[in-house]
Amino acid sequence: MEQKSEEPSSSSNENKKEEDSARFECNICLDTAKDAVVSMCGHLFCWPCLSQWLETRPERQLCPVCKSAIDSSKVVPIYGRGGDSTDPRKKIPPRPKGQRTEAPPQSFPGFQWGGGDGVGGGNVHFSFGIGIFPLSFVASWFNTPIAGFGANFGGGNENQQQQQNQPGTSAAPGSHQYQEEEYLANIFKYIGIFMLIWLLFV
Amino acid sequence: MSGIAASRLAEERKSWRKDHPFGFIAKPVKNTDGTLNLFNWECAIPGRKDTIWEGGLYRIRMLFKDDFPSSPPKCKFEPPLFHPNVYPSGTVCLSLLDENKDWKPSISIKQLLIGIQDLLNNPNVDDPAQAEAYQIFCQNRTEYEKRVKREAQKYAAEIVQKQILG
Repeated sequence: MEQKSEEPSSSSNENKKEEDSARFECNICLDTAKDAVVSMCGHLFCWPCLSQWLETRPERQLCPVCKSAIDSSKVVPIYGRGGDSTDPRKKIPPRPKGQRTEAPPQSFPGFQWGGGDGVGGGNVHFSFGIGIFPLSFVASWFNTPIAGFGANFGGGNENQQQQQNQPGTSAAPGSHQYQEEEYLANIFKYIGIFMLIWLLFV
Repeated sequence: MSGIAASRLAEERKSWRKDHPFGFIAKPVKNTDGTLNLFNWECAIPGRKDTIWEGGLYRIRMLFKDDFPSSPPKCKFEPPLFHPNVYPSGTVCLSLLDENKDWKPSISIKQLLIGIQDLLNNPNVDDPAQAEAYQIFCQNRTEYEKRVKREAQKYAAEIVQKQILG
């Protein structure tokens, strides 16, 4: 039906008029340019059409007509009489903003010291770490001597058995080795105490 | 965004109906509900006068994607054509139809069809797409011309025109 009516059209006057308006058609949509912009190479486009073209080829920003280099910041908006004179580049396309939700405040646990709003899983963690650090440090220093003392002062069979079961871990009381161990243990103890004091007061 | 594609294709149709080169046919296919499918066009390209292709009318389908005119349409001879730059599937191999070569959004359907018509008689030996036509074209030109003329007779304009326009 429609196909049959494909005939070249009408009077020359009308043709001329159409030819004139064709000069102001967008080179992409072939319709009258809306929100018209013109490239530095002189080609006319609708801004929505051109911006879509530039978006689809971010690596090759070329004029859709002559393939010269083109830059969205270097196209000139065209304002006809009576049209609205906002820069078409500003209203279209409204670039979608990145979707981002703000993280809850504990996102930087290490830098929030106690108090505050008390939302602080993070707070607890960090201060806990600080609290435990010297203790565990001292404890590790004390470990050997404390165990040694426990063994030495505990006395009795149990102690004897333990010593038999673990030859070499602690020497018999009164021996030269025992004195040495006690001496070392004392040194460790004093170093530990010193460290603790140093951490507390410095 | 198929908004631009649809409006552009509507414009293409309008301008084709207003004026188009003699002997060419281009029309969007009809959906089953009678509406037009602007993204699928049935076209036909006549062999140029005074060439071995004269007398034939070669059917070609143009398939447009949503990002048209950023990307070119896919052009496919139906049935596949005996030509060095037409793939066995019928798809045309032409720089004008290559997004990364000479395609640009300002090329109209009219220009494309004329470009393909031009390709018929000016095959590009640097870019062969089917072995048969390419080999015959390179090795035995008289045989090639005979084959092409046979195609032209097979797809004689009067017959094909009736097929398309019903």
